[in-house]
Amino acid sequence: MTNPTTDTNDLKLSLPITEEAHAIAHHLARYQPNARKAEQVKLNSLAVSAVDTYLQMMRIQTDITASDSHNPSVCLGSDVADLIVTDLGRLECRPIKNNHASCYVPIEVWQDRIGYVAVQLDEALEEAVLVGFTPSVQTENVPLYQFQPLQTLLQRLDELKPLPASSEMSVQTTETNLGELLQGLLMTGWQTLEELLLGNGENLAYRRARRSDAESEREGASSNRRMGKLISLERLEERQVILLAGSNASYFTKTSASDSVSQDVEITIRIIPANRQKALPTGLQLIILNESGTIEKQVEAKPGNDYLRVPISGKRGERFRVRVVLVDSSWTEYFVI
Amino acid sequence: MNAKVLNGLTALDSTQFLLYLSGAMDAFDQELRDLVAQACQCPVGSLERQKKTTIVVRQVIKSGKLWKDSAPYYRDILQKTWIYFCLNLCEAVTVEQPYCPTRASVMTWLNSYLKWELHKARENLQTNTKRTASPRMIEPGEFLDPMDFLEAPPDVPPILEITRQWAEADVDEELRRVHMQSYPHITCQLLILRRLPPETGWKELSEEFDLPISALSSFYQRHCQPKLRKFGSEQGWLLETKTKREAKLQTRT
Repeated sequence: MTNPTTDTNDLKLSLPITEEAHAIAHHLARYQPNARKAEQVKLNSLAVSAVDTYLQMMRIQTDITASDSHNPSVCLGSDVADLIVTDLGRLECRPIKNNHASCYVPIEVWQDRIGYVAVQLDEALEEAVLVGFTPSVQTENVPLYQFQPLQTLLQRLDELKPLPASSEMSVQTTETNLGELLQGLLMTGWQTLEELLLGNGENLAYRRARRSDAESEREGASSNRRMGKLISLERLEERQVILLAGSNASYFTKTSASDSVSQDVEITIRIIPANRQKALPTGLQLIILNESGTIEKQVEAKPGNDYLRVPISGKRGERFRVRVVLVDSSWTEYFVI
Repeated sequence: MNAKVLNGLTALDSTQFLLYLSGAMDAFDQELRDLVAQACQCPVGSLERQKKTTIVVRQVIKSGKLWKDSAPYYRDILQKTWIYFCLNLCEAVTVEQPYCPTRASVMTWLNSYLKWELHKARENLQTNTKRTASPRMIEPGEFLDPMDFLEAPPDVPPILEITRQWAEADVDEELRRVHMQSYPHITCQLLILRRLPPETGWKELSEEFDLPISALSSFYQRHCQPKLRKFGSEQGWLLETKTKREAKLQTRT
């Protein structure tokens, strides 16, 4: 009964572009010094308004007037279409004209974004279709098929939501507390390396990981711990990898933390293959970002690589993110030390 | 499927066919009612509630049963209706009574609000015929003239010139001081001036400075955009929506 066209349409959402949105877009565009910039600012503003309406419908708070897309001087120097989602960050809402098969995401908005929504505008500028969402981009022209259904946007915003201070019930693990994790506290999705590889068969990377455990023991870090998480970059099994977080956990196990507050903690983040795969997918990237989302370190798997490893150090309470990227899919894990 | 039904029809069957059609409508109403019930079972503000509400909205649009007319303010009223619909579907947020499934079908509830608001907008327009611009929806229940809302100065300031002068003068030397690590000559001032229209492309800048595009653009985004942001807001160029917020507060209290 259903054909692929209706299937993809089922994932989109069509919203009216109001006269009010036009008035605002026109107002913002008037500031720009030439017709090209004015048109760009107008379309960006319409896309932002449409996403803003959708988030209002979902009862998600936004601050549209504080967004760069509403700041004439930022628009002057950048092609920017952001919408501030209160307490969560900037969401980029990119307009697509008519039937373009890709969405243009200029490089100057590749950072400091919680994600990207593609918004298709009709010729008469009366209707905006929210096409989909992607958490990150690696190219300026993102094909529309790479955008995920709109519910991924809701999911992403939900993951970013700060946990209510005193409700342990809603442990939507948005942020992994590394200290607690390595002290053995159970956390959703996290397992010991042994548990993770059970049934996966022992592979070379696993042996290597065990060997380096033994090595560290010889080096005296007897309480070296690591925990892992299975990450699915796509539904395909070979696109699954294991993210490992480890540390010389003596720091975390100390009962009196006071003397070690200023001490740097050494942490190692590794990616190893899952499902008996011998190597990581070529081109897989492991990226470490700081709290504000700025890239700190980045490594990439070459053909045949069976692990990626990034050592980092930080102080207790510091936050960082680990992002695993393969072509068009990515996974981000949030940590606090 | 429909084709088969039609092929099998005889003249005598036509009443049955009509019943089939009306049955299909009821089936849609029932489906929608079930979807709404499912949505309302999820906690307020939960991801599941949001996902299910989106499905409801999508199904309504897909059904083609949404009331349509050609009024110039139709799209503003439709947007207002969607917000009303999503907010009051399970709990009464902006009204006293939420949607009540025993009283009306989802479509009836939605369309009657939409029609009523269109009617109100028409009346509002008629009482304001003297005005030159049509009133626009600002917030549920609030109509403001666009000229009240957008307090733009009558003459748009030449922001390009003002911004360029600001960047060139760099009175606090803030723009000159901030530079790319190990490249003291690539400063915020330089990049801002080069990115103001007619802007130099990132590729050209990358070739000129022999640095990757990503390094330049990331520096620009992290260090230069915030300076422009601050400048724009200090200049009072941001759209003042105090009116909007006050209007919102008034409707709530």
